[in-house]
Amino acid sequence: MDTKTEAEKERMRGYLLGNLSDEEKARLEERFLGDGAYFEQLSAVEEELIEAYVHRELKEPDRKCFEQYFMESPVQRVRVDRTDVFLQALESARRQESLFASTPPRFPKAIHLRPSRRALGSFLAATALLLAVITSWLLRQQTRLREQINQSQAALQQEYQIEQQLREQEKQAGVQVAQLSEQLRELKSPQLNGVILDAYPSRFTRAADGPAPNELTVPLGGKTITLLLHSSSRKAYPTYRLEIVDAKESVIWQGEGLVRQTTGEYVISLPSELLPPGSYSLHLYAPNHGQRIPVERYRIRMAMPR
Amino acid sequence: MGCRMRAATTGNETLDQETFDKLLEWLDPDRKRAAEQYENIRSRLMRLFVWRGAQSPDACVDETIDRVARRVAEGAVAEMPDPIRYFASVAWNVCSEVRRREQRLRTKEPLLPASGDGHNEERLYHCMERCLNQLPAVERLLMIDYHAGDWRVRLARRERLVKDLGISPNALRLRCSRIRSKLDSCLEDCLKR
Repeated sequence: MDTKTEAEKERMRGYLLGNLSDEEKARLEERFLGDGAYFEQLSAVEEELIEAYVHRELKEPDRKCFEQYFMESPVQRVRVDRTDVFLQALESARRQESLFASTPPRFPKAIHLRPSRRALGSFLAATALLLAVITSWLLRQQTRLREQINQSQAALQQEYQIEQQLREQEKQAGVQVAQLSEQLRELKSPQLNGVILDAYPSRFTRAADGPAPNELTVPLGGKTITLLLHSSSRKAYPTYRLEIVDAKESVIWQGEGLVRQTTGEYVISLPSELLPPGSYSLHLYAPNHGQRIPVERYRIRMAMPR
Repeated sequence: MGCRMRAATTGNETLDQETFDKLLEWLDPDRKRAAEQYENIRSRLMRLFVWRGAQSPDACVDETIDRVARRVAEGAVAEMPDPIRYFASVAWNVCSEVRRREQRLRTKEPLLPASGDGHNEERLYHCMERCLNQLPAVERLLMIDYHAGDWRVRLARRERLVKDLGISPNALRLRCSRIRSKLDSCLEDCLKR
């Protein structure tokens, strides 16, 4: 407010408080009777004066002038009372508005209702506390979720490995099944180019004038060998056990349940792949109360197929 | 200050139509503008007598207008260049007369407090709240920002309002005063119900 306006405002206050001379009063009254803007300004100053009085902000001697001069008219006393009520109602409205202080500004230009410092402090403290709680909770949740993710990843990795193993096993089993199926098919099919070998015990072949060593040549494509093991033994047993031993004295096959034919031979059919070219010994035993009794021994030699 | 009481409501019921028409014509040849000026003078005279401490300002206003209108009808003020100045001088005289009368009466009639009983205060508060709520939100919030709190808070808020609204402190004061006037009219209506 500039000096001129401030001086005019002081003059108005003086008029309202009865501090002007008669001449000044007359001049001022004449002006506000004819000048609407001036009258408005005087009314505004009057409101400020009443408000200051109601707030007990008027200092001496203004307060005394206000009570003795300004409030002389009953109309003014009513105005003072109403201003008191007006300010109480505004204070009540302000408190209500403070509850909704977060709503956006409602003035054409930004006019904000500020909550009191105390309320603002409480609000900030509550917000900080809330943020701390939320942050702590979020951190705990983050740690827990990370653990869950790690566990899930480990479980997934394990499952993947198991799956790979199972697939490998399945693949191997498939190969085996295919081989077995092939073997089964071959076994069920008629065997072509099979050979039969008469084999005599070693005691006969060792003699210089005895029969030639048992030699067998399997033709190409021949898959089975049938051995007719001749025997001169007089003693008979219910069943016999046969072991096939290669040149390195390793047992490559053994089996029980062999029986002597009525013609005196032992008959056994073998896959030709069991006896690749080389020398072999066939040992025939008779099981007897947990012991085995040597019965016969045969030596055979497999020649390269032609 | 106690003017003689009259049965005045809208004022000047003792004036006949002819006298009143002459008064309006004297104020302004244009009837419409004359009527506006008459209303302005009447309302401002009302405040004048209140500020002068009149006990019955309505009656004082009527007395002033009555005297001016009669002098105009008599042709005594036909050459007065400024009607406002004449009204002011007559009002001054009326004030002086009634003040003398009042000083004689004051010793006999003690002043009574203006405020009524608790019921009236409650009703007044209710009406005030109601009128505040009827104000547009912008005006209600402006009233709150302008008036609520102690003087330090009010001062800070008013400075901020001046800055935010981009107007002078005087313009802000007038804007709030107009809203207050609107509120007072609403309050009067509410209290009459």
